[in-house]
Amino acid sequence: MHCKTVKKLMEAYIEGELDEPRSKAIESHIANCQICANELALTQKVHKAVDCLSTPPVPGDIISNTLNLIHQRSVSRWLWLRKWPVVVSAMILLGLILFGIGYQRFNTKPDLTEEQIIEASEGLNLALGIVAAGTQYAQNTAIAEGARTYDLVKVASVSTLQEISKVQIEVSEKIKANLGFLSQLNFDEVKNNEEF
Amino acid sequence: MVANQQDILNITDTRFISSEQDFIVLMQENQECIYRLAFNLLGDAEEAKDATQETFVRAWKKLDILRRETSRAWLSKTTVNLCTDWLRKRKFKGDFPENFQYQTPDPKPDPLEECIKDEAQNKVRVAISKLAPKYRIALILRDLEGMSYQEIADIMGMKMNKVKSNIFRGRQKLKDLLRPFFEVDRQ
Repeated sequence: MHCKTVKKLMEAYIEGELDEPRSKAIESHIANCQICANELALTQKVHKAVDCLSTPPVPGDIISNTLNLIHQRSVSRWLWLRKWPVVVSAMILLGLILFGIGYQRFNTKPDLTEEQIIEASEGLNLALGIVAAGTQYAQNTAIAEGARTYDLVKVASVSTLQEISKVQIEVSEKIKANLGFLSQLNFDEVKNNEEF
Repeated sequence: MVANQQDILNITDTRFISSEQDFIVLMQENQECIYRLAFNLLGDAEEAKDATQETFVRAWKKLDILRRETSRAWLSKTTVNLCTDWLRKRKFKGDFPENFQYQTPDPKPDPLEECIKDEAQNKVRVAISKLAPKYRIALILRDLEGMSYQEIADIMGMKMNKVKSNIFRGRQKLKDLLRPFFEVDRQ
């Protein structure tokens, strides 16, 4: 093993991080090389010197000082607020205004007018009437022209009525909700209206 | 604090430090190692005390994320970052002394233990102070704090190979700085 390699591995050798073959190779080299032996001795001395370094005892007031610092810094933050009352007041007022605008903007509102709701309801009733009449006609015709025709029409009518029922329920719920909102706005007017 | 509020605190996740009392216990358990680390990095007792206190103040602000099992590593990392900043400012201000005299540490209580004298310890500390920060920190964390390579890598934010390289270079430079003292001593 060369001196350059020994020097490179010396720290790891002292730390005990080398495998046995390389450790033995270093020991064999050092036994026959005074320069490397001196270098090893110096390295071990430096390691020992570092290991022997000690520190002063821990001051006894670190914890109390830390708690005082935490308290002082939190108080000083509040003192900043007291120092700038106008700025703080303006910031609070601005925050309230922005909150009010946001609340008003995102509050739920009906997307249909009263007239549109009434019109839609009348239209739905008309549609239901037509389907009922058509179903009856189909039934009558089927009796005259054969049961199979009746079955086909009956299936179509039933499914149509089911779909209309679903829409009717949804529209009814929406009508109720919107009417409820409208009634809150102008309860007296709604109350006196004969249609309601 | 009323009893029911205290009960609520008690059933919170005990992995986190949830009360002032827990925080005080945290400081009691860690102040010695943090102070020692700060002193080894800065070389001054008063600065080490300030650094320790500042580390705990920062920990107080991070209580919501500080877990018991990782608090030591977090505190060490914060101390290293803090001391690195202070060292950088100290050097920038131009008051980094070449003949910096460290406080004489207390001697080992066991007189039979083979330790070097106070003068030698000062020599070693002055030599350490002359190392570049990246070598100094790596060497201190390894040789004085006994941390593993992985722990040092986590604290310094670098790969393990880089940590080993910095430790190796730091030791080489330290040895070169102390060579005149120890070789004369040997003779």
